[in-house]
Amino acid sequence: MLMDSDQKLIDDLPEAIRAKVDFSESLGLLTGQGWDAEPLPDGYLPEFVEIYANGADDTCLMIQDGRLAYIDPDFLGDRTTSTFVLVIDEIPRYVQVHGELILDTLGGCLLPDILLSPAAQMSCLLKALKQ
Amino acid sequence: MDIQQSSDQQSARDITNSSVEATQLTLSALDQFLQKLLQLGMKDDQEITIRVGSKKIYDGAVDGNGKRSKLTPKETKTLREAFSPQKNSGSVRILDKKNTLLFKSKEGQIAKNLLSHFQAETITPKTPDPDAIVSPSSETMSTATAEPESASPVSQEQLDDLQNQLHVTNEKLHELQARLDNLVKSRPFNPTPVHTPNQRVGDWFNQQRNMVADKLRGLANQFSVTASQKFKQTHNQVKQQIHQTLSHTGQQAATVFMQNFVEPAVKVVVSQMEKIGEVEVAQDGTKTFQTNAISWQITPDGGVNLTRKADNQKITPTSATPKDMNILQSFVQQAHECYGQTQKLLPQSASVENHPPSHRSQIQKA
Repeated sequence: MLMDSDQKLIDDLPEAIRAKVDFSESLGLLTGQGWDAEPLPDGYLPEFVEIYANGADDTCLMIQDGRLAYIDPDFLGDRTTSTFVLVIDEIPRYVQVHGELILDTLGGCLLPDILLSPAAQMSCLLKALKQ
Repeated sequence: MDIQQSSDQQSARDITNSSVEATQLTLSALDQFLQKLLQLGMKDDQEITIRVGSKKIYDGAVDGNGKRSKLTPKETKTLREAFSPQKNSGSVRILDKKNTLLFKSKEGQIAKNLLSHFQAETITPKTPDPDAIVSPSSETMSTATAEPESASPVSQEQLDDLQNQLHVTNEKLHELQARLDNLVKSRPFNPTPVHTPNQRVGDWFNQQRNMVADKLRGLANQFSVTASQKFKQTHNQVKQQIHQTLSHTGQQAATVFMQNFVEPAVKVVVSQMEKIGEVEVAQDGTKTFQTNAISWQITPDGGVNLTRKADNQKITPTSATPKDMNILQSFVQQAHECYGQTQKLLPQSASVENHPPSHRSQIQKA
């Protein structure tokens, strides 16, 4: 159940866009949150990079200051990206639904190579083993 | 290349232990926060409002049934730090339906906390779970307390238990290795490329995902191999330690047995045998009494020497063989029965040895 202010973001989307994202409340909200954003300037270096994929309500992957902060082990091996949302510093910048591009305001944003510390590797491995 | 350099510069700023903390981030921060409230004793159906800064992020029952707002990473971080706020933490407030402030934390301080009230009402202090620790050492302690007279520091049964546990651990290790091997071959560790309309995004994503998968495959392989080697090493160390402990314990017991039982018995027997002329007295005053296997001597200063006739070696607590110990036990027993002036040999006093565990049961049976 969404807050009223969040619902309004979805309602304010163009009809054609809303029709493409209305199968997922989360996807609609993400699209609404990023819809009015201006493209990022050249060389913009993000602090947070998040990916929401395959209709997931939660982040599948999070990078903070270039370091892998979280990854969903399922997402690691999932070969489909039925939905794919890239959030840069808390603003959704890229939304793709069933292969169709819905939103792209990445502009000149740099996409960082992930740094994976030994501790993070161990954490990921243990999570995968627990599953 | 630009991206790589920028990333390195960015990460070089503080690549510290924070990466460990960062890996622990999950996105169900709100659910975990609500769970924490339940642990603190709040009721499932209690209606609350949670605010992070000025934003209402949750409005509903503690059991999670309510309206929730999507959290940004910063809000997630703030929420996670609510109960242990840092200096730069944002504010977190919990209010009840009457708008009464139940909890507030901000910038390293918990300004208000009525949650402890719930905890005091519902949570009883934890007591150690007696079943929580099951180890050979704990069994040793409980046995020693219950039967201090008959328990030796490390028994054969305890050794068997420990070896069984090592065996079980070994099996678990093999199971873990099998799971690691399967993981290396699994889909999550072997991603295939995805396609995106924006090729730059697709290329970046595929590259990063492959890198993570490569590292995890390598780690899994390494872990599988080194865990096995480490276990073998540990297994051998434990065996060696047990052997040394048993040897040390056996030697201590054998020394006590010699001093408290054998030597008094020898003195009594030699004294009695001397009366009927069965004792040789050397020029220096050493008195010797012979039996088939052992030569029993008392020196002028009162010391007792035992010599094994078969190889003419002295019998000491550290050199006594199981056969020697049988003879000594029998000797002490007979001395007590014939002359009654020596200590009676108690069963546990005979349970001494200074040899590896494999000899132990043999001595006890004898």
